[in-house]
Amino acid sequence: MRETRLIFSKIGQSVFISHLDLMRTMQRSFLRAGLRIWHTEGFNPRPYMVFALPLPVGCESVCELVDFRVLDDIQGKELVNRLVPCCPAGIIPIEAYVPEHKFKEIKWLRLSGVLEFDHADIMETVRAVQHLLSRNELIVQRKTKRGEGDFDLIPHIKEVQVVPAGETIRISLIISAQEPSVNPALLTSAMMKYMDGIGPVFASYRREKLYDAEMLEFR
Amino acid sequence: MDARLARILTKVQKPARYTGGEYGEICKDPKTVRLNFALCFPDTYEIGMSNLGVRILYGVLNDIEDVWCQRAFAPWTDMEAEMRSAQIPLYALESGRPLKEFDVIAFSIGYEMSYTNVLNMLDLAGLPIHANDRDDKMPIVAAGGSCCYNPEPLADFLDLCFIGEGEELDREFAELVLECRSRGEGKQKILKKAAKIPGIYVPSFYDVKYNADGTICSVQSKIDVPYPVTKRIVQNLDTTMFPTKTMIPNTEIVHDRVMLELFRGCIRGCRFCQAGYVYRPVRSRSPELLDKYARESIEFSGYEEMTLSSLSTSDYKYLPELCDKLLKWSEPRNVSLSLPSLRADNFSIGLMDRVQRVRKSGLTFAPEAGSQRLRDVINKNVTEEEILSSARIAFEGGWNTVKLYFMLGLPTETDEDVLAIADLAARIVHEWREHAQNKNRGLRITVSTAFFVPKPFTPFQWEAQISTEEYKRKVAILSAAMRSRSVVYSWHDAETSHVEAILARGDRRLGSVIETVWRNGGRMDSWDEYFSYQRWMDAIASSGLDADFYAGRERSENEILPWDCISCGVTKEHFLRERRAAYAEKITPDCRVKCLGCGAVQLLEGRPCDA
Repeated sequence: MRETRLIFSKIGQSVFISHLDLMRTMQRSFLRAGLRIWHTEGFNPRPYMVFALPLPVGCESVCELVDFRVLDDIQGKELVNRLVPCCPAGIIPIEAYVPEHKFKEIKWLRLSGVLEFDHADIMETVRAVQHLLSRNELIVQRKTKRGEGDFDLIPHIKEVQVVPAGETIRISLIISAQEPSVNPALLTSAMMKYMDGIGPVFASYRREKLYDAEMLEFR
Repeated sequence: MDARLARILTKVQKPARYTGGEYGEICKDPKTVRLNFALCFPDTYEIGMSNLGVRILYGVLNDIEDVWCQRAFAPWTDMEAEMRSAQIPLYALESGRPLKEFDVIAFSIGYEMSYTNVLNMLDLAGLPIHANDRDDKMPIVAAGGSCCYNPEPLADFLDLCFIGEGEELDREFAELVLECRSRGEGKQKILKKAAKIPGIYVPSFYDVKYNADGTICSVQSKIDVPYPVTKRIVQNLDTTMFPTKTMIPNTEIVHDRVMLELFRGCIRGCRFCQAGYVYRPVRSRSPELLDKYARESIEFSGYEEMTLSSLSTSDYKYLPELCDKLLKWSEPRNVSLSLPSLRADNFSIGLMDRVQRVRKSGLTFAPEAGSQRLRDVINKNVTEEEILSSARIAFEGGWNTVKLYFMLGLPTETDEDVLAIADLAARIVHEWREHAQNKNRGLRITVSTAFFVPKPFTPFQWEAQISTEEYKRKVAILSAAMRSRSVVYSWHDAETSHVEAILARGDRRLGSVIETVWRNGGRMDSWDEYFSYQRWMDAIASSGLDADFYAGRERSENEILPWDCISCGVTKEHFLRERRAAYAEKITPDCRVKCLGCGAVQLLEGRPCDA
């Protein structure tokens, strides 16, 4: 039995698969690929899979991680090659390897986004977004298990870059991945709240990379 | 994906229902496709994707090289609102192409309460709902499924109906449309040729006239077409397509497992059951083939659960042999088997113990009536001793969850029959107390009562449905009689069943009612949160019709019934004989004991009925 970590993308139409459904989908993909993985040993045995971070519905990612225990002697490229044709559209296995670091060491992630505005002066809007995300404080409402409350985004975002891209704006920044986790939708909420009614009509985001607390790439 | 669609999908519940992209989905190069066929299910994705018929037809049609069959389901109300606001017409999941650009739109309709969804989906597709208003540039709109055994309430909206089993019928129709289109032939010509295909019913080719009392006076065919249209069946289930490589949903659906269809038809002859008659004659699949299909399905899908599906699974002749074959490989692979549709009379704990070794689930029985007298009336050939014996064996084997299904409002039912349900539940509790292996786990018995709806093509097709007030009175006396804390009693909504009864035995005049309900906001009528009884009653009143005429009236045995335009193979004479036996409180034996000559065997070409 070998502890194995898989990096995979979740893009295109698969962004609308919820986290719970993703777990089921991945479990079935493994079974289809004939990859025997360790099952839990309770009353209702299930394939054991641990995902690093939940991904909000609608958000793409090219750096999703899932850990499992392979029972057969299959690893690396062979494992990925078996899995690729067994996944639904948009779920793309990239690499499989033996993990060296625990998921709790993930601290930051690089997020890119495309913001769409209706009838906006794009350069003006770029400046407004840059200004917003460089304030000393940026309070939004955030839902947690304990209820809804104020949350300051600024301590949990950094390295913000905002550029025009035709009729849209592209944004790239580092956000906190866990403790706390920052949902990209909070960025959109902040823009809607503070940009005097010229917030984006639509925003799409993608997770690009994961980092540890020292900003070393996490894998 | 349409950029407008991407914008709205983050605003709606369960957006994965609207994107396609599932493993096993079939995508073809549009340039190679000559016929675009939209298979539509008039309810949500979760319900439609649980329908085996949809998967079978999807596979059958996509096996034709020039045909691309794609799927569409009824969007939930939040998605519908967003689509209308963004002006996104209803589209097929595979390509995102609007349904109005398809050649054929075919609905699979299994429940009368989805009729308003049929209209809503047509409207959301940007199509006129009336067949007469659709021209040659628009898709042909068809329907199949069990509701097409009485398609008359939808006659105004459908161009044609597929009666019976679609595996060969849909294929023949698709090939006909391909041929006609290649000749530039329009809808009317296609319909005339389609009407010659056995099993296709074109409502517009028949004129229905009514008597002053509302009953049907005559049905005349306008051109040379059959009356009645006899259903199509697949002759040999072993040679027909089974969808082992089918689409595996990315989001949870109602029946999220492999469904292995063991056989079609039923030997039992329960007098209330439409399915038991319309799926005759009995045809079985061989256990070797089922084992092969099961393996292929599990390997392809990645599912770890499989249901052995049929109308009465314990009547499958080769069930022990099949279970032996399946368990050999399913157990080591952690695949659990489920056997629904068990009868309480030949229940086998040994069998259940074997199949539920992987994961034990609850047991369900359907005595349908509480007293032996009433069970004899409905020809449910199961005795109280058999029910109690089955329960006893189950409790000894460690089961502690039992579901019992009954109906209220059956013909000749008395209050004593109703109270007998409570007595039976109490006796089952007693069996548990006496025989349960581990009482610490407690006992949970769920008693559920449905409101009897008389259906076409059953011996009870002439019966009146009891009033909703009378049903509720019976529910109340039964509820008061359920004393044990181990028993939970639930009952079906009276009003929904009343509307179901109206539609099930309705005629063409109900088309205006369905339309009025839909125009007044009716959709998702099979869902409690959207069903409005008042809307239906108002629509019936404004159409000048009478709900009691359809649901609460005992039909004369001599009158022309709306569904007489269809033949399911079983003769009216057989239904009448069974009706008389019901009133004499006499049971009739099942097909395996004695053939009663129901007539369905005539549909078989040179083969005997497999009962």
